[in-house]
Amino acid sequence: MSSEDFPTSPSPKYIPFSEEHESIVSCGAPVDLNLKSLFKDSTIVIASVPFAFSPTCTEEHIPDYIKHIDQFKSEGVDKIIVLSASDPFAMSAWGKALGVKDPANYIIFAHDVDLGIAKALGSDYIADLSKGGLGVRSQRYAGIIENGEIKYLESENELNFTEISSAETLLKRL
Amino acid sequence: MAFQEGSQLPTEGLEFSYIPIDLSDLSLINPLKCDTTSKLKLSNLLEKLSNSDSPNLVAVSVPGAFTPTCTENHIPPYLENLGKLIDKKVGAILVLATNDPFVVNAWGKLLIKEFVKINDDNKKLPEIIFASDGGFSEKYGLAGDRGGIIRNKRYAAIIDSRTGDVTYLGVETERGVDKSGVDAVLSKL
Repeated sequence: MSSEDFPTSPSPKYIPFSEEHESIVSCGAPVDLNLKSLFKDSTIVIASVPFAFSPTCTEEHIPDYIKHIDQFKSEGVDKIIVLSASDPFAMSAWGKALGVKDPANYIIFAHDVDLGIAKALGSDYIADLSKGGLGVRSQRYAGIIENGEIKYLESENELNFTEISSAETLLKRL
Repeated sequence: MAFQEGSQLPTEGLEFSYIPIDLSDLSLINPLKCDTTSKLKLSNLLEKLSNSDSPNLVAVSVPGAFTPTCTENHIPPYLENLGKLIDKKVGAILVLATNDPFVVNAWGKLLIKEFVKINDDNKKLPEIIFASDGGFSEKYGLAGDRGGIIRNKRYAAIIDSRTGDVTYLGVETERGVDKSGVDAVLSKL
């Protein structure tokens, strides 16, 4: 996909990190993430994962991004948004568990409400795991959004984590 | 069959997705170490308990892992009062949440690390199982629509594994923790 707008509706929900709720067993309140205003005149990296706290997402995919935060910043990325079907409480706790405790919320851990964003992107972005009792989730995918337009967007196959969604690939495409 | 106080727990085909948590050394529990999921067949758990000297199963259901009430008020008192639950012959505590098994497992490990105190008296800890509800509660009218997501109601039940009977079922009808809290459950054991 290229020269297309990234979907902005429904608004994902997230819990902004605050020092008041720094502890992982202390929970804040979810708010809407207004993608339209976030995208305006900005470069945003989107990383979607099937599950918070699942092995690949927790041990490989998102840590890879966290490790490269400084490079993303120096390449002009304004924010990184991590999306998943997991609810905003789980996403917030997962962010804290991964060691992301940043009052500036440079990385936002958000819930894709009803998988609305993934569905708007198309069936390649959905992973139906109902047979295994794990429900319908989003695929692992990664994108670069410039001023609302899709500059790079690729989905993994079979929920794997490969160069398709790695931090290095994104950094090269920026 | 219904899931109600005074009746047998309907266990036929009842299984939950979960990831076992090893309580033998609490310091080794790592919430960021993610494993693959297993199936918990409830009839097997009840059979195991019925052959032990701690035959009671306490099931506690929460709307969501990592949500404020569940994380701050509901489950921690159970984990802080394991000694009293052991004295009342509770062999297993089953925490059911609406979320997927990865999230429920990570939440369980964090809560256990935070609230289970090192076992000084060397009492054998009950099994503590954090599992994904997987539609069980909804099937028995114990879930409801909360902002577009079907979530479990907050409730607690005591099951006597020797008879399979539900000897207590306390369902919260208002916000907060009362009938499903550890004090209510202890008073019924």
